[in-house]
Amino acid sequence: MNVSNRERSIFGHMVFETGITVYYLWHAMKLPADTLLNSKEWVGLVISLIPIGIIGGIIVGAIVMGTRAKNTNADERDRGIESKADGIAYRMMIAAIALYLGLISFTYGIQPGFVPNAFVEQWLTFTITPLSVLNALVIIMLIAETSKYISQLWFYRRGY
Amino acid sequence: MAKTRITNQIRTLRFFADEMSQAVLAEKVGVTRQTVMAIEAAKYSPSLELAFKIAAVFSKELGEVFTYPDEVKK
Repeated sequence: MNVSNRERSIFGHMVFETGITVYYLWHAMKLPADTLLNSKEWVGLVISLIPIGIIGGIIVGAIVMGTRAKNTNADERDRGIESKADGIAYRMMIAAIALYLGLISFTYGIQPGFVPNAFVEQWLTFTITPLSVLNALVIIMLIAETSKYISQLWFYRRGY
Repeated sequence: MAKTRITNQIRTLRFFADEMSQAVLAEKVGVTRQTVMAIEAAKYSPSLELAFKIAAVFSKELGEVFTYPDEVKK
């Protein structure tokens, strides 16, 4: 498959950002819900992301290595594609925020016992803590960023 | 995604311009080779400015390089 330098670069960044975010979430979700953001565990997790970020950056650099010299500045098509992808990412972010607000409203706006189904009550309600809010924001960011990258790759491949 | 309805003669014009490569054309008009490829394949409609630049490279009128289907013009 013929992949342009720009597509390779976008793909590399997408894999890198997704990888590092999934790594963070994988470990952050294991922490107790009431973990404070100045706790040793959480700060340790964030610090552990630094070397991973550096190594990931080197790997992404290797993926797009040799292409930078040939890379020209973004032209009107690149800018158009990025602009359109930004629009899609924005809509995805708004949808994710709306969903999150809906979950918060569902959890705290409904009187206890209102939800008849215990399963629904168990899975559609959650405890809001600083860590859970932060994790939700990270997930929303990941959704928006990934939407942007996938949209860009789609437009480059299928036409814009 | 549907192809643009604007068709073009860039490939033919390149051939008659001493088999000019896409890379050379791209450099002359200030875009990437991928953009020239996308325009040729009717996967991207260039801006008016870029369309004029491309026509100027081949010393042609805009209408000789890019055409729009007749049924839309009416």
